[in-house]
Amino acid sequence: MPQPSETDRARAQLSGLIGQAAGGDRQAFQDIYNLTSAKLFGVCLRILNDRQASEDALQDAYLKIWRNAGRFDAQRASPITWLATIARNTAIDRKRSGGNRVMVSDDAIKEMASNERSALERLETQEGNDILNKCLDSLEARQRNVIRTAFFEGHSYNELAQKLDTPLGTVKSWVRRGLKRLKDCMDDG
Amino acid sequence: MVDETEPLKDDEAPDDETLAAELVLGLLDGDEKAAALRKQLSDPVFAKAVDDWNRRVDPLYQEFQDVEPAASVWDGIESRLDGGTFDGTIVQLKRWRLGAIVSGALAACLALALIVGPGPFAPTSEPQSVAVAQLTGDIEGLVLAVSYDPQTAEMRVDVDGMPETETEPELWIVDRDGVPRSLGQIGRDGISQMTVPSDHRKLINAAATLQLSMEPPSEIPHAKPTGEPVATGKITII
Repeated sequence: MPQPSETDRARAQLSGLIGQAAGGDRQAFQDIYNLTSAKLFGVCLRILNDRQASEDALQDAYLKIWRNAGRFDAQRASPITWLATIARNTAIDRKRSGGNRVMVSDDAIKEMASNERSALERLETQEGNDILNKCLDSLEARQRNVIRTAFFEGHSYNELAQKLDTPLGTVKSWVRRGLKRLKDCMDDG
Repeated sequence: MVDETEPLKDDEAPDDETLAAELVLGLLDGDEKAAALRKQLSDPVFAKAVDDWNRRVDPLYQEFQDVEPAASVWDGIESRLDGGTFDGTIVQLKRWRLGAIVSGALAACLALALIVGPGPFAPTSEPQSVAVAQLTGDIEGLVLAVSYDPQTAEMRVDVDGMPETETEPELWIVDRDGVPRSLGQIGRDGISQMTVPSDHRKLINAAATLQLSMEPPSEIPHAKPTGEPVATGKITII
């Protein structure tokens, strides 16, 4: 597990590279790619579940990063989250535009459970995440699972309802009540 | 105590806080997503709620597993980078040719640049001819074409596809230091023309970025943007 100082240094380095890319520095942009493409590809692959589509989404995501590097604000987001958010949104857009091929499966609930974190992952999770995870854990299981599934698989309400074979209104109420509780819990800190 | 088992009606509208979370998680699609993105633009309170939710879910990104992409992916990006830059310039030029006045102005700038060339005392890193930029962002259809003539310090901005908002578009120049400096508010649609303030002229170079943000209406430029830029573009010197 990296020391905080190492994390800080990596973060500062990445922020610096994004700033250089904003100024048109191609080498800095390639360095960003080399440092982050495995993470961003993992994001695309989780959402699209298809290697070719994920590679296409990854290309689109890095072109957006190149064009929008000037928008990055280190005060508002960590650089890796900023990059990963662009990858996630790009993958989601690609999934939605590619037609909703959501399979209704008996395994959907089982798959949803696989979005639970393993004990090992919990151990590896850094300290800053404690509040989010403590608050997610305080939700009803179905509220927590549906929120985590939405995040990690990039499903819309309609896709979730199809996937879970559950009425849309029910899915919305699970999510919305879960989100309200999550916010209240996190704001209480 | 709310009955936790009672499902919501499908069309029940969420409060703003919930809507912000839904936008961040990617639960919205179609018209709902478009409406939420427009709201993010026009409503600073809502925009902040979106920022706050992004921060709340931030730790979840650590849970995505790393997977190495094929080496060919970078080659594809690099080739599109070159193609994209080139195409972008062509698109800008085409756009400028659409309007007779604009086309004339650009032709004049280019001609002037060809005749005059760099000034004898101009360092090579200074703009030598005309600066152009195309600004785009997350709002589908919103495109700004910007042209700047360093000889006259005249900047022209052509706005297309601006959605309805209560805020006004304000243009910013961001140099290497990352600090946005306002060039003032511009028209919502069509061509705006302005003379760039003298202390901002040196900032218009190939390392700078132009940004557009949505701000409360104001006669004088704001000291700093209140929210996320809605469109950005790098400056290209041609």
